[in-house]
Amino acid sequence: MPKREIVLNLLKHSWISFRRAHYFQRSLGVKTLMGFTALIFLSYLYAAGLMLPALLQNYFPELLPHEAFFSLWLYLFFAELTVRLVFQKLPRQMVQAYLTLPVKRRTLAGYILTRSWFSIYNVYLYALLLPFYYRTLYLHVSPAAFWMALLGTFLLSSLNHAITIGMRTWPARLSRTITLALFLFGFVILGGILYMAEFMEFSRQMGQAVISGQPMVFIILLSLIIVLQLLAFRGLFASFYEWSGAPSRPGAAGRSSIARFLAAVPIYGLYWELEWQLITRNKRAVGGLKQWPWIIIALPLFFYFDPFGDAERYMYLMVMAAGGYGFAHLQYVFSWESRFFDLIAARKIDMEVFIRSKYYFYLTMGAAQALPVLLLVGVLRPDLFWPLFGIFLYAVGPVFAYLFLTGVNSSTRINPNKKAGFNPEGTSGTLFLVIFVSMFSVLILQGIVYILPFSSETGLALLTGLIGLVFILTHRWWIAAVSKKFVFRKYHNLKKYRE
Amino acid sequence: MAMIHIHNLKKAYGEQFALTIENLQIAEGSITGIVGNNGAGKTTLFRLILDLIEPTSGEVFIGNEPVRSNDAWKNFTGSYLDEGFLIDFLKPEEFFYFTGRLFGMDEKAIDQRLSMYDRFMAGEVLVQDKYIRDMSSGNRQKTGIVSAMMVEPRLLILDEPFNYLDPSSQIWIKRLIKEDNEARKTTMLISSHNLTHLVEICHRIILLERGKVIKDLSLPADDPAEVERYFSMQAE
Repeated sequence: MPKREIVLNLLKHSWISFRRAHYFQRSLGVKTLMGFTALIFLSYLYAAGLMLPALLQNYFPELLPHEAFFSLWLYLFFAELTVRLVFQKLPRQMVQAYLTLPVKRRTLAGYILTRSWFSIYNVYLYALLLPFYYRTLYLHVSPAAFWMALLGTFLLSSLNHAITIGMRTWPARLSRTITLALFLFGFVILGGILYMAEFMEFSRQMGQAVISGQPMVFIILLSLIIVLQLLAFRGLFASFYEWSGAPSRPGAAGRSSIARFLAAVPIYGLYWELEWQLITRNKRAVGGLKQWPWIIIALPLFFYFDPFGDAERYMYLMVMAAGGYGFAHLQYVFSWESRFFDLIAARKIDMEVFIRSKYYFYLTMGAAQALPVLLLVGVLRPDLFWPLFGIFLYAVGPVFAYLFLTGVNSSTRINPNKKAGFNPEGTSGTLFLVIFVSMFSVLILQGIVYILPFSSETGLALLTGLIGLVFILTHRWWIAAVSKKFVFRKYHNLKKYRE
Repeated sequence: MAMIHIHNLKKAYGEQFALTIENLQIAEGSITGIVGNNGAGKTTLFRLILDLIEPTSGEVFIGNEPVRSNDAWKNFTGSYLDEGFLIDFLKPEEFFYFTGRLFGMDEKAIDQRLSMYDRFMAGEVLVQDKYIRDMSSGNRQKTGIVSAMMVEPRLLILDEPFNYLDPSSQIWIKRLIKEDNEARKTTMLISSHNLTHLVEICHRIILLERGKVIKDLSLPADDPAEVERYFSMQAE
């Protein structure tokens, strides 16, 4: 079979596997909710694109909206690169089945690179930028500037794609080194806040060069993309045995000093060590930890750069900053152990102690995430410190309690080592309901804060802090209730975990 | 004296009864083999004994205590049914320590116990620096069996322990089961499709068909060929 035909066939298989994924085998209700969530996300971006000109005009009254935007252009693409580095993966697992067929390694490598371009990360940005470019460039500058800006966006986004995919294709050790170098580069740029004026000016000039169609900018960007893709192609060869599914390297992560430290704690240590090993040794479970640095750095900076935003408006973000990790992980609180719950049920494990150990563990993890955020916010936005502290107590109090209580109802099986991207495991109507109710509760709090006779900061800190404290202090009581509920549903959940 | 007493036990899935046992007692210190074709109810029986599934009616007693309302039996019961009994992101050593500590053993005692299984594990399980999920099926099976046996249980339940094991390991596990039973009078309940292995080690063989006990042989008094004839007839 000719090479081109093989690649086309592989792409076709990839599409079939996507269409036939469990994702689309769910009930109509769940599918509708999922579609609705995606639609909301895109609408947010689209609405942001429409409102962006007015917002930029407000912050940079001396510049035209598109000039102001281009001043921030490189920051935007750096942020996009960051998102890609964290989330975008190389679709190399899709070729496992073809390795023993008469298909050349070179063809498979070419397919992997081609397939990587069909990614949501190469699309979503246009939902934001299309309306913005149309309203600012097409209507007020020229149609040519609009098309040039789109081309420039495509090339910059493609450059980010090529960097990310390039790094994923190089052998693991080299890739980690480069990741570290890029992180340092990121900090240089963040440190570049010190030289913000110069950086923004450079970014603006680059944007101007793009919309005025200066060929050199396009040639440089295109050359960089081609070089990076060629390097990626080479990298795939160098790391063939990594992506061809050879057995994982022996000697992967030993028993860490943290695990040993946790194990030494009386009563709960045994379970804490297990919990730590679960979240650090499994691809999906470790995902939440990998997001920490971004949350810790990004949210305080966001608060800092928007000094007029008050605590009430930031509630969702603050919930994310203060309890995001616990929320992300505890959505599947018992499902993480679903693969070996038979063992837990057949051994001498007191369910109440087991659940309490989980709560203390995630309380500690929540505090470990919130503490640096609180410190940074304390320096950058002192007015948000107490509301954020209150929301931390709220997150680890009623929100955690709610997740534990509803977690008992969720009997979906999860493989913690299977990556989260396009992985429907754990998705259920119950989960959507849990997320919806959590979000709705924040709306109610906002409403209460609005009618309280305090400033939004004081009102929020008092309200969330007090509710949080009540739940923290009564944790033994509600954990006993969770435990009873779990024992009541034990047979049903164990049956589902096995399926 | 009976270690396990099963009374009017029924398990139905919808209209279909997967298991119906009116009365069955497993004597303390005995090795009992459970045989039957696929779907006969062997694993269902084990799961009911271990209180992992809810009976439609009836009760299982271990040491005179009903398993559903009293979990004292967990203090002296070792079991390995399938990979749902393994924590696959741990290394075997870590898994053994976890299990051992649940039974109140310290690391020194666990190491001491593990040394008894060195030959069975054949240098392929310990000190390999591999997670259980990265091990071969045979070595995962060994890990599960050892974790169930090393805690010195008074009751041991193994489902298809010979599966995935190489011939030498099958001989080893038979030897270990026999020695443990003789030395500590451990009550054992073992299922297998391999009748020859069971005849070698068991004091009693129970044949299940569609969830019902259709033969109950005491060895060596009864002739195990009866069971062989049953399987031959089923194949015709």
